[in-house]
Amino acid sequence: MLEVKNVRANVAENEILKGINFEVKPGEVHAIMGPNGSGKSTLSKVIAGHPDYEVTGGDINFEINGKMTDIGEFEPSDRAREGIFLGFQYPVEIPGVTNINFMHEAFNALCEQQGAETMNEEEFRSYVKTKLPLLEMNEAFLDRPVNEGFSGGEKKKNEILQMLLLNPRLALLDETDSGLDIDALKIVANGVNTLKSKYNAVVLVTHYQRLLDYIKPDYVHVLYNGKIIKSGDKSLALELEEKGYDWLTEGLN
Amino acid sequence: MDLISKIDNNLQSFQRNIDHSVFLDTRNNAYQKVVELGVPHRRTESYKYTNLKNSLETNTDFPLIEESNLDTSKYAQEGFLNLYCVNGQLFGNIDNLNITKLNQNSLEVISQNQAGFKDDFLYKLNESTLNSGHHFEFGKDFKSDMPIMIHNILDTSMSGIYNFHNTFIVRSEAKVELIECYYTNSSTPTFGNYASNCVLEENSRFTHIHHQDVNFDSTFANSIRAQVPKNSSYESYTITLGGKISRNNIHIDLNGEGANCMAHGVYTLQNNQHSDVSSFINHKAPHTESAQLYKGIMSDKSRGVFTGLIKVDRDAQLINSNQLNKNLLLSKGAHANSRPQLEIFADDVKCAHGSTTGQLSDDELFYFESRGIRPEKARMMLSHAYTYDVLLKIENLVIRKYIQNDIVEKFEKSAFEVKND
Repeated sequence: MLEVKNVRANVAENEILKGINFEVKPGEVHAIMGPNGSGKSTLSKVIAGHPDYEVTGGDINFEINGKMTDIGEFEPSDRAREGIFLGFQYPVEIPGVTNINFMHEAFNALCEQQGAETMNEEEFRSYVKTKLPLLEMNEAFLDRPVNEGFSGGEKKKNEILQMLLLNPRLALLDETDSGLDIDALKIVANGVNTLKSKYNAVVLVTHYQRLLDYIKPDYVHVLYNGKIIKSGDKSLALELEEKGYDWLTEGLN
Repeated sequence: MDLISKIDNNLQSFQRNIDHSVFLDTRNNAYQKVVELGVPHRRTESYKYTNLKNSLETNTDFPLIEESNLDTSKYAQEGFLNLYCVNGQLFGNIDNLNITKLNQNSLEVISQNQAGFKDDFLYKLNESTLNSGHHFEFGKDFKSDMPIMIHNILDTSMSGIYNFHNTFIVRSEAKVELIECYYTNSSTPTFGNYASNCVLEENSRFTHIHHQDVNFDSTFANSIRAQVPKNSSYESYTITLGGKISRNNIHIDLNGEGANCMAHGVYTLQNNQHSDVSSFINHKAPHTESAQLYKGIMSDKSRGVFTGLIKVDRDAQLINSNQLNKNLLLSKGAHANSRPQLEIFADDVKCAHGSTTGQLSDDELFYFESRGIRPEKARMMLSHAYTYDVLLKIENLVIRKYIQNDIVEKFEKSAFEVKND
């Protein structure tokens, strides 16, 4: 459903991605690991279409209505409407806009795209309430401004809540595990596992193998200096945990 | 003939045509001042960013006010006690609120407030024509279940300067929630020059909202004055939606211990609109408090101007005061001028002031878009949130909702061209 082909990308004239290749099929979970500054976050933002990242080469193809389509020129909102979700490493605080209002707007945007019926406020609230227990969130969260004053863990749970509501075909989760204690990590992982089905795929960007104890990846890719230098199965993550990155990066650069 | 001479001539002929001799001295004194001050220009400090020349050239006459047969029912708002003031004529009444035409009592209010705006061209112009307007007296213990809304409607096809002057007395223990709306009932360019003079008694509370939505070719000015004694509270809100040029003069004196005031405002501007807020809060007594939050959103080629001065007198120790002006620019051609100022003569006070001007943040916008929300809709929601912050300070939910909806209708829908989906 997703093909990343030889993608190169710049931020402010600096080349961060230097030719990335990988492919994601429905039902798969991919983990992207790598040391700081290797380009992990950039990769997820590039796929979601962040305007600060300039794609200078390669193609990003995404399956739309059964056809692989080059989404390079798609606006971020169009990518989202086609089923790509980005879980932010640092979710943005939006003072003045309530969480429920924000999610309602997003939800209806997707309904509209899919030709499904939109929900009114009341219906949407009831729908959201069914998802809250899973994330151990209470209803008060819905009426607070988006992410404002949320703890790190609450922000990440809020990302997962949005993901579950929007039910994307491709979820890109950018360091969703960072800043979480072990209980919150389990809750978040549980949320992701709820989404998983044979129709959709998850790409986890993470530093630590810890998250992968709870969400089992089918593939693990190691990103280093803007390139994927090794791909493998779950055992690669365990190996990295044990040995670090040095054994892979020696002699590179 | 130059502009001020034209105004001078027209002013004199207007004065000859009106009666109310009780105001003669006030009018004459003010008239002298108008001639002395002349039309404000770029080097007039308090009008540095606001040029009235074009407005006054379009509106040099002082037309005598016509009677209007306007059907006011379309203005009625549910949830409010509605009063209508069409071309200076007032309809409606409310328990324990005594409304009369301007009279000797108004003159007392006006004279108590003489110090404020003593060098302000627009205010003095208003006083020099003092004739049309009302005196409102909210009785002791006044209270009403519903807030009061006065619809100030100018119904005319003649351009010119229209001056109205209202005076308010709020007796002790009264609690008043009043929103005054300003409209023009035609597309005729006019210059509505209003003044609101308020005197509060001890232990009273007056929430006074001015909601301006005149046509885009008109000029609107309002000079708001309040005297706040011991343990009383005056809350001023100025909302600017309409008008080509809009000027709000706000002057509040905190005269006794425990007096406090809020002066908040929102201006949402588009096309070539220009709004200027000039506030002056004077802490004259110890243990007084003031808070100000003015927020503007400017799109297209509009300009928002804010000048705020907090003055703390020598004896006004232990006061608490803050002032903040924030501006959001939605386009390259939009401007904001912000001048927060402090003059402190006491040594044990808490004062804070600040100003920011910025654009919508890319990160915020991307967050919305990454959820499938269109950029225009995202901009609208963020801008909505920007002003909502100020509206949250309005305690009365009915008033808050009314203003919020009006900002959506009159500003957001056209500034962001969002189609209903």
